[in-house]
Amino acid sequence: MKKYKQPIYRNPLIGIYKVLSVILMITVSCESFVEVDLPQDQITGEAVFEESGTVQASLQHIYAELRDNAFTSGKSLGVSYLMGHYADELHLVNPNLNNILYYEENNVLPTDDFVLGFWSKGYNLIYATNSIIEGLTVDSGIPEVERNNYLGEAYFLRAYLHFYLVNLFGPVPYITSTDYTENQAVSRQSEVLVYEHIVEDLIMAKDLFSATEINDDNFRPDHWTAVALLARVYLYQENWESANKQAIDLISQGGFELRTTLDQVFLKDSGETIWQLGPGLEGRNTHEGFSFIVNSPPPNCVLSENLLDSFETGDRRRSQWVGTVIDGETQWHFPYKYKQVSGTETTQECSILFRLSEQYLIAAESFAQLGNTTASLDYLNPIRDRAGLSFLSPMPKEELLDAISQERRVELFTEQAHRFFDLKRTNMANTILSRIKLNWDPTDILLPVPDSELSINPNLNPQNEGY
Amino acid sequence: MKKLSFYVNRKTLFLLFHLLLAPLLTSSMVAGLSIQSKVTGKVTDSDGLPIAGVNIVVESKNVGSISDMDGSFSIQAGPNDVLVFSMVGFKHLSVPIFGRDEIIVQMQEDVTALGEVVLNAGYYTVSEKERTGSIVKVKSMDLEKQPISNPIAGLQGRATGVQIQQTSGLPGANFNIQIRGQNSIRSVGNDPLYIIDGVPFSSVSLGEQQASIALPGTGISPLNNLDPNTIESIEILKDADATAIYGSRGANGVVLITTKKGKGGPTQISFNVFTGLGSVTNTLDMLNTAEYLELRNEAYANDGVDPIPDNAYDVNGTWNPNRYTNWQKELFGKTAFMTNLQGSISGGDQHTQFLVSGNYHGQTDVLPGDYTSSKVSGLANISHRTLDDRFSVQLSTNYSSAVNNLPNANSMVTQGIVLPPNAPELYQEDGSLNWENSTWDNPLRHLKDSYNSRTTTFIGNMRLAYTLMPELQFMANLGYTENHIKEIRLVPSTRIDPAFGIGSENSYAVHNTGERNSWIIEPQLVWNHGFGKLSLQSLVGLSFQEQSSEQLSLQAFGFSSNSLIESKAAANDLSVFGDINQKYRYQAIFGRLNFNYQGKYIVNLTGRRDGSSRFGPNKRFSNFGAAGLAWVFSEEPFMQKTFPFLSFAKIKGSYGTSGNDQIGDYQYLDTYSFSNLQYQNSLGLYPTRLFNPDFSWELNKKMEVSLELGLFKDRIRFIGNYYRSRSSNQLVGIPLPATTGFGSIIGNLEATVENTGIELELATVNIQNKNFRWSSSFNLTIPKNKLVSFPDLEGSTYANQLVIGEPLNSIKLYQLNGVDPETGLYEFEDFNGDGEITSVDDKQVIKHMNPEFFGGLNNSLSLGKFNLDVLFQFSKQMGFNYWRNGSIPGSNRNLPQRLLQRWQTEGDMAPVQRMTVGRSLDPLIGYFNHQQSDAVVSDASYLRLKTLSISYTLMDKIKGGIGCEIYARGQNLWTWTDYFGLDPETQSTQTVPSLRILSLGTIIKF
Repeated sequence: MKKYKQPIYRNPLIGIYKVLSVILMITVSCESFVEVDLPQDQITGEAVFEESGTVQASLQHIYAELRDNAFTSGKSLGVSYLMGHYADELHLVNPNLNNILYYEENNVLPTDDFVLGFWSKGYNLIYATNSIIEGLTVDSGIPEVERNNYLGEAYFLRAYLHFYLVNLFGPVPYITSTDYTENQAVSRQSEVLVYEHIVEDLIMAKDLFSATEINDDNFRPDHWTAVALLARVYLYQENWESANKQAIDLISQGGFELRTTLDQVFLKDSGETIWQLGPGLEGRNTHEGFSFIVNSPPPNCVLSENLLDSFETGDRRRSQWVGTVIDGETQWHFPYKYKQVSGTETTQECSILFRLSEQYLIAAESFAQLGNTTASLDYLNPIRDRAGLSFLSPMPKEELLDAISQERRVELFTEQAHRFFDLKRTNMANTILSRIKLNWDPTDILLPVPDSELSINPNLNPQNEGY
Repeated sequence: MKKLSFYVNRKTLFLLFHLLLAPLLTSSMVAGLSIQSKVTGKVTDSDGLPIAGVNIVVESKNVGSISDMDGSFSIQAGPNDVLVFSMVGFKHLSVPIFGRDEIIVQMQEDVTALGEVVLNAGYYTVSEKERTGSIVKVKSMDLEKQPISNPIAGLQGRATGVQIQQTSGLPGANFNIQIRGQNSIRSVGNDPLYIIDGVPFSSVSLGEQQASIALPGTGISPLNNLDPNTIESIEILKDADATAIYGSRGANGVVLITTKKGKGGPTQISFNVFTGLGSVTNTLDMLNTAEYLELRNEAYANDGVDPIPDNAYDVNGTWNPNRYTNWQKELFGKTAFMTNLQGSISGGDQHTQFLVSGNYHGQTDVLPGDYTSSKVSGLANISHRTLDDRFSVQLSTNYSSAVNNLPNANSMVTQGIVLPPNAPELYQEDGSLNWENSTWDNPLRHLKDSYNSRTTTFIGNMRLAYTLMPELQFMANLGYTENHIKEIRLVPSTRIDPAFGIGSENSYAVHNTGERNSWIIEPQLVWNHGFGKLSLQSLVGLSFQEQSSEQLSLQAFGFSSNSLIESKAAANDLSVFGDINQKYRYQAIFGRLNFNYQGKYIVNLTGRRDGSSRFGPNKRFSNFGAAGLAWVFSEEPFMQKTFPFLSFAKIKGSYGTSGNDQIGDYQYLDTYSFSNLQYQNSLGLYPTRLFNPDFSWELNKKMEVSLELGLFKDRIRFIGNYYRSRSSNQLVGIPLPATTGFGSIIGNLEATVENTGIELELATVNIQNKNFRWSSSFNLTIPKNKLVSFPDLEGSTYANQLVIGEPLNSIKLYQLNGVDPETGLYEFEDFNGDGEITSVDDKQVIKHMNPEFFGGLNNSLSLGKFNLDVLFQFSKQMGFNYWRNGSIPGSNRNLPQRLLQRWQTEGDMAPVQRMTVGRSLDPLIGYFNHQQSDAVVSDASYLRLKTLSISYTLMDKIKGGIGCEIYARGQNLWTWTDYFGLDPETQSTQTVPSLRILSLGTIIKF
């Protein structure tokens, strides 16, 4: 009997059911099958933040972008060149450079490519800094001191990038996350608020940087770079006391030293450089050199008559930092702070973003604002002295401030738009530029937000006035 | 008691059940075990000629046999059994044995063999009669009649809904193929899914464009390695019913390639040898020297340049003004030779069959120099069934190796068209290149810029099937493919006039190596069951696939000697421009349910759940499915009564979804990549893209209705399809505000592309009698493509390229208003009225570049031992003409004859503007705007005698033991077109046009 209990053919549906359940089990347990490893030429965000080398590489990318493609670049797409034309430092000679002419004539359109470049490259690099900040905050296996230094660099860079955005565009969104769903609908924040965020980030950076480990080559921002920017930012905020404290701290404790001769100031190993951008490959020099130096006339652009006239007689900067090329009857003058047009055996010059002279002038200005004329002159006169100019004696506050402003003009010319930003923060832009520039309008104080940005994210409205 | 009765009852029930089953069991067991005797016989056709290879099975038993060469057979069967004879091309025949020992049967030819045509639908097969999906089959017979080396070429003009365009007449050139239109907005991502013997085959090139610059397109296609002679059939799956079972990969259609398999019967050895000649289908009518010089002098006069400059060697007398060379003939007018050798052995019995075949194809090209491309391939397969027929295994391997050697062909063709007709001799008397005192760039310098590729492909596949129970079968499909490519392009300094003193330190070579391998495992269960008049076929299966590819391309620059140029180690500088390493994994569960009620009402349900590593974590798995319905209304009694001439009639329809996963690997990940910017001698790392967890497939919804009719015993067959497919969830760069850090995110956008179309097929047997048969088939496709919606098109990167409501393949151009009789300059319509002709606003003319309709007409005649096949292929379309890349009329480049009709003096009404050497701005601007105007698009319709094949059977194998057939075949023999350019198919003046090929061959069978 027993052997009949096993029917020869089982119900096929039972078989199917069993097989199906096996299949289902396999499928469920194999969901991880469709997860794949990454290719060799790409790294996940997580992996980047597990090792020092890759974190460094992601920071180095930002520095390279600052050197080559962002605001601070010495190329004709950077603020030194464009805002030099926009203000009263540079004069465009080549009439075919239409895109530069818009800056020269203060006719920048909301569709301008450089404007879009400032804006989008700026925020692209801010994304990169946020990505580093978010990546390093998790327990990443990098020793704390090192990690803090990287975090310091990232916070510093985030502040530095927003600093240019707020100065060029006025109210801008301060971006602190990588989440695009959030960032695609942001609104603009008031300039005051943006500055507050900048200060917060810089204080954070300053504390994160270990004060003891200082980069000798100055190719990466460190504790003192954060201090330097903080001094500048406080100055822009007219927070004289804080600006003064930061500048004095840096001058007294930073270990930097003013070079005695002018031709050494912009060399790679200059002792007064706080932060400079390293070359891509050894032997390369600055983009500024290539953009400004004129070997054979006619040049694309020259220094404006206005700036040349503002040098006092005997100012050695007029002869040493200004180059001359002669074309028959015509003399052309160009910025000659950097002397190298092309590559050399070893790198001689790097684009300097922060140098000690500016801190002296910040100290002088803040002391003047606080009413301490003597102290102010103590910081102003060394700069004049080096340029072969006489010491100034005490004078009324307003005159002193004018003297400092004049000194900033001839000391910091064609360096990262110092002139335009100075005019702007001291509310002098209108008065001075409307005299020289035919098409100047009071609303030209800000660049327009790119049109395409406003149409994709209407929350960025309204457009800056006058555009 | 109760318990007992229960047991009794159960026992009774069981006994009853067993009793019911007993007859079934006994009959099969008895027949299978005991009363068996040998039945012999012979099979002949209606003329009494023996037929070999007929399948003979004992009905409802797993016993089978195959008829021999003389038609005889023997089989073990019981006296009450029924023998079923079947053979493709003949009607099924069932013959009860009635106790006989010898059976002579005569099989009737099936006129169109409609019911016999079995279509491969990938995971299952279906008869032509009962299919619910849209499947087109191209048989080996049709492919073999064409002297081609790429099987895709053989599909042209033969399949509805399949648009194929050859990109160049060079050996190894790619074909563009689109099944039912362009679904994806991206120009990449419209390839169908290729499956060879059940193994997915990636058609994505491993080539590097920098290397294969001689060939148009994005590198050499892996499909080139397939050999048309090893293909049994190509089935193209088009609608939802057929493609949904391929889930996220079926949206662009599926091309199933089945290789030849061994057939049982006596061992057969066959050889097929052909040699062919090829030349370009067309050249342009260019100016002769006198006309050319006249135009040149006129151009100088028009531009006010006097005297003629020293460097205008063609007109200033430096070059002989009486010399004439037809440069097109010189530079791409050679005759190409091709040789094809093929041999195969096949045989076996009803349990084991095998096939081994090998093929060599060698081909030169129409360019000067000695460049040969060749392809060697081998196919071997074996299949076996166990004696009880429960288990079968089929193993198939396919290997091919192709070598392509080409000079910089594009430049040669361009030079052939533009060189002044009085340009100097190519060679000096001593045989070296003539540079004519550095007054010209000898076009043969492009011979030095050479390209060499070696590609190999291996496809291995095994199919296992085991019958678990009479109606339940387990199957497994295992496959492995491997592709290798090694390319090198040599650009030696000898390509430059030696007078410039440029040495080997400026020579360079581009190297590329690539490798891709993939495996697939697909276990499946098939259960077929009859419920009375309703029969059910069902299938469920799993799929696991992995594909990994690697590619390394680099440039080696600067050598101490040109003889070292191929060595990477000898280069002064090596730079890597591609180091790609990708992995793709895929898994799926799929199924099919097919209900067939008496062959009259058929419902086919298919579905697939897909998981792919290409999709973001939130969208890793997706479901696809389709339903197909068919009503064979000719089976209805009332139809048979009312329309007796209607032998077959079917209405079918399907609706369903499939996807497109040609979206690249890793695209959803927020990875970091190495930047090209350095900082202090080291490379930076930058965030590549935003993380998009919702990154997924493009969705395609397909709908189709069709009508199939057979009239007069299927002597006239008609198929009409109407389809509509809508692709949405399009992968495009969605613009983002820069505050996100990026300008866009590659994501799925709710943009919709619609393809609709009508496909018509008509096949007729016009005459059929004992000695003469004439059949025709005609197919026509009328496709329409439309961008239905695209949110925020204006803000996207596609703003200047796409227009809602227009086809994707459209172009916006200026409108040419002719030549101003006053100034002799081209005039364009100033649409925005701002007085200037400027892009984008004035480019308002939209031209559609897709064909309006295309198709083919095939006629086959057989008269006794003669066979004739004629295929015409046609396409009604607009295309880019000569003007798209035409030279400045009047510059030192030769021009087509029709440019003689140029403006000369004030008041001239001429189609061509005044000649200019390029020194005056206005005519120069006119020229550039003209290249961007509607003048560059014109009618590119053509009708082409695609294939002509004549064959004659010298000896019939069956009678003499040795068979012999000779044939002559031609490809692209004649083209009728109004097209202004080289070739309406390639639509380019920068590559070799399609070739006209004539071949002669012999087939010998033992």
